[in-house]
Amino acid sequence: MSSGIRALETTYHFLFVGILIILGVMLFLCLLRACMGPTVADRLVSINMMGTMVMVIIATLAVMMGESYLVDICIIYAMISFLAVIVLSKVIMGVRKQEETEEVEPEKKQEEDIFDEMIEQESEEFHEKILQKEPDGEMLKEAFDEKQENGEREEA
Amino acid sequence: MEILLWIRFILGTLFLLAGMMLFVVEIISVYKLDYVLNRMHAAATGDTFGIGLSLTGLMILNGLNLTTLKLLLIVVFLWCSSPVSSHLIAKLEVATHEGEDRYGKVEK
Repeated sequence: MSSGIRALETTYHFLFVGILIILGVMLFLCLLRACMGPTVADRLVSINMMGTMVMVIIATLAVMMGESYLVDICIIYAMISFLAVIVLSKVIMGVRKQEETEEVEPEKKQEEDIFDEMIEQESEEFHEKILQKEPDGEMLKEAFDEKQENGEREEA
Repeated sequence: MEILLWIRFILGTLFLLAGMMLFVVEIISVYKLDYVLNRMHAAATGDTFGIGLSLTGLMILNGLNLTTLKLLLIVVFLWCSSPVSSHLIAKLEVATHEGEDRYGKVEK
């Protein structure tokens, strides 16, 4: 009875050690892939894979040693690696977008100037129409200007 | 009683080795495929399915504990977070267009 249980324990030990060795080799291969990768997205993919493998290693260690607190570390590791991938991809995307907008910016400014001129012309036409329609529009305008001047004086 | 322990061991080992095999397939395909969006498919599959299988094996080996529930929490969290991070990396690749000259333009 006891000899059977002892055999089971040694088998467990060899299983866990073998799995840890396999995972360590694969972790090293992932690191090599991250160094080789030509693009940024490539490196991020392999770093994500490394995070997953480290999580499996920590969970295996927790079951092997019978320590429950290692699983908490595993949860925290999962959250931090997820956050790292999100932050890195967002930051790199933001930097690229900023570079693109800096290249395009002068054309945009010209467009804005044209738009402002169009708005000014339209408002002048509208003002003229109002003056034509109402006979005492000019009086009203003068009165409005005086009021504004008075208001400015009061403010001053 | 001892037979039950051995059955649990064999079942858990099968799940664990299946997860390891998925990780090995993931590594081979990441080295073999030649474009990021193809590699990402293999990597995301290994991340979600491989870690699900290997943590299920560890749960069976561990027995019914609070630790098992925490392992289940890790699996559920990874099933939610891994597709999101893969999606963000794909968007990054589409936005930067680094492989455009070699592999053609990516449709937005």
